[in-house]
Amino acid sequence: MESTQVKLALMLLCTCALMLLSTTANAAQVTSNDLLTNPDLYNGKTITYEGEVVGDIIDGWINVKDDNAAIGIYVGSNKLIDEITYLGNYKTIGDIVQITGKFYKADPLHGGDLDIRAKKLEVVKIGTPIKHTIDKSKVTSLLMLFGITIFLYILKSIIYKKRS
Amino acid sequence: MLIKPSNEDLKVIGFNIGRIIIAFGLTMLIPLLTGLFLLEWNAALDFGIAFFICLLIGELLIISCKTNKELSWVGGLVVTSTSWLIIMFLGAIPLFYSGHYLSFLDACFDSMSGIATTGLALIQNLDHLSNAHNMWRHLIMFIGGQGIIVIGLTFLIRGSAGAYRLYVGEAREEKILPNVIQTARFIWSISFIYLFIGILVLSILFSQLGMSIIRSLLHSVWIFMAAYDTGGFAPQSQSILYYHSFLVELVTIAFMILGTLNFSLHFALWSGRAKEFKKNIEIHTLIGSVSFISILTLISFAKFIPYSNLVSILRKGFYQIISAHSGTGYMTVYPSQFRDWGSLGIFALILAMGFGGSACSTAGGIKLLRIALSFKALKQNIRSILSPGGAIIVEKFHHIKDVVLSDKIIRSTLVITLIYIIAYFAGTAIGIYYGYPIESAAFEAVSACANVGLSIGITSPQMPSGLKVTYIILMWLGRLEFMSIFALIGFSIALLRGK
Repeated sequence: MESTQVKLALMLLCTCALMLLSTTANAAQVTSNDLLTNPDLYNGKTITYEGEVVGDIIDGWINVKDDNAAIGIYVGSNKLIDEITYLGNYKTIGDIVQITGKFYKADPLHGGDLDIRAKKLEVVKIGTPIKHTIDKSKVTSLLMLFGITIFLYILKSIIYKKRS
Repeated sequence: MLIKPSNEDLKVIGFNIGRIIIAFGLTMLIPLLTGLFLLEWNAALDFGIAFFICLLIGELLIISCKTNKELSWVGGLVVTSTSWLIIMFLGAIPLFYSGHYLSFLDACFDSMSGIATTGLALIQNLDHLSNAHNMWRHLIMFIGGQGIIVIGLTFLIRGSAGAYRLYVGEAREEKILPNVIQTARFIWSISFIYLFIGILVLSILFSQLGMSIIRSLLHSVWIFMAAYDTGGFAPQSQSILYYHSFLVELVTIAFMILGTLNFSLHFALWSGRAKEFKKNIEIHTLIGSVSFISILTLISFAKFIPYSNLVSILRKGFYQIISAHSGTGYMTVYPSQFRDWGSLGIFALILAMGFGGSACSTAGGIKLLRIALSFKALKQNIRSILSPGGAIIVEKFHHIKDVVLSDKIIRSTLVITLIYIIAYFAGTAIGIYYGYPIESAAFEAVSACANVGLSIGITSPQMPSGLKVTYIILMWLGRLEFMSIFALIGFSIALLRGK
């Protein structure tokens, strides 16, 4: 009887441990829209968020943008930042990273910022430089406008000469 | 009987608008050079095209409207209001070409938001915008903050009575120096001195945070321009939250306050009359109003507890209050987070935005001087009711000099205040019509009309076109303080129906 109770208790303990492990391993995959529209739902919980690293690496911070908005990720001074190769800007598509960490709707350690304190950072896709080919129609428009302006200035000087 | 404006009246208006357009076009050389320097060829082409369009339109107006006639009062007001509209369209050309806007209307919205130093934005994917276009977005705030007409007066328009009429049309009545051209030049000189200091401080700060030298320099120029000109555009989509830095927030608070002060006060400071700060009615009102609004916000925070410690309250609560009151619109929170502030907190921010900054500054809103004078007038009225019949109650205030509060001052103060309140209500009503809750509609309408730029989430590329047009009109009305636009309406009616 006693051994059955011990077995049951052990099974219960194992189930709980497995459940706990699965919740951290499979932290809720969220978007910035989820975090901004339902911050209370995720506040203080471990979540997974994916997006492009944009801008700069600022004193232990990166900003990661998905389709909706960019969210501040506190990476700290650990080596996670070294994983990042490209930062998104006009000339580059930044690395797509997957962040697992704790979400705070008003982080008390960071002056009330809505942020994620990263525990894990994984580069899902390495960024690439963006090739901006020169728009020929813009070049044509510019040349035409330049020509018309020169013509106008010549016309202006003729008109003013006649008037004087 | 309405008198139809003569051909000469139209010519003098067209001639002056032409000169202002050329002055505006010349400023496009700055983002053009930025594009060339940073090898952003398509962006440079956008500004080249817009520059030549400005030159062409400006020169065509100058040639076809050449006249020696002096501008009338109404003419000056019409030139100002019309120039601002035309410049909105011209400023939107390079923005639209960037490919970051859903429509030309959205580019016009951002262009008006920039020149009116509002800061509401419909741009998409801002984090991938070129440096040249970002330079333009912030430069138009700097230009609009000092005044488009002020540029014209500084560089292209010679001294005349007409010059003063143009200056007044841009919601500036105070002549800091005896001559309006000297005043315009002073405004620019002081702005450039602050710009230099701002770039120095911010670029050091940004490079300390780990940004590259070029990006530190560019961000310092942009953030200073938008903070000092109480504009509120930022180079990244998260506004000031992007930097996650208390120091950056403190420095921008200082620049926002600097920008919201009357240029006459800056002149007093630069002339060694620092005592003026102690006596000035606008400073007293600013301190009183910020304190009152902070108390309201704290009461709301005590109930809803959106932040758990004092630093967070300062970095989120106080920052947004200063941003709202100065008319800047920089944010360290996401628009949806205002919901956590509670209705009283939102109401406090609406009040701060509605009050605005100093007269003759880059800030918008009713203005501190008018708020103070309205209360002075109320006090005078109460005192006269309580005094024996026949007693004359004299109320004085100090603004650069001691002034007696006359009926004329009270009337002009209350008229403009009333028009602002009507505009706030009208904007709110239109927002409600489009299906937004009253609280959000009021927040966004006041933010647009007072040229602030804080958003509670309504302003987005997906919002109805009618509301975009409404906010454009509110920004235009608010920046020019109504009179020059009323003059334009009157002038248009006279043109159509006058004899």
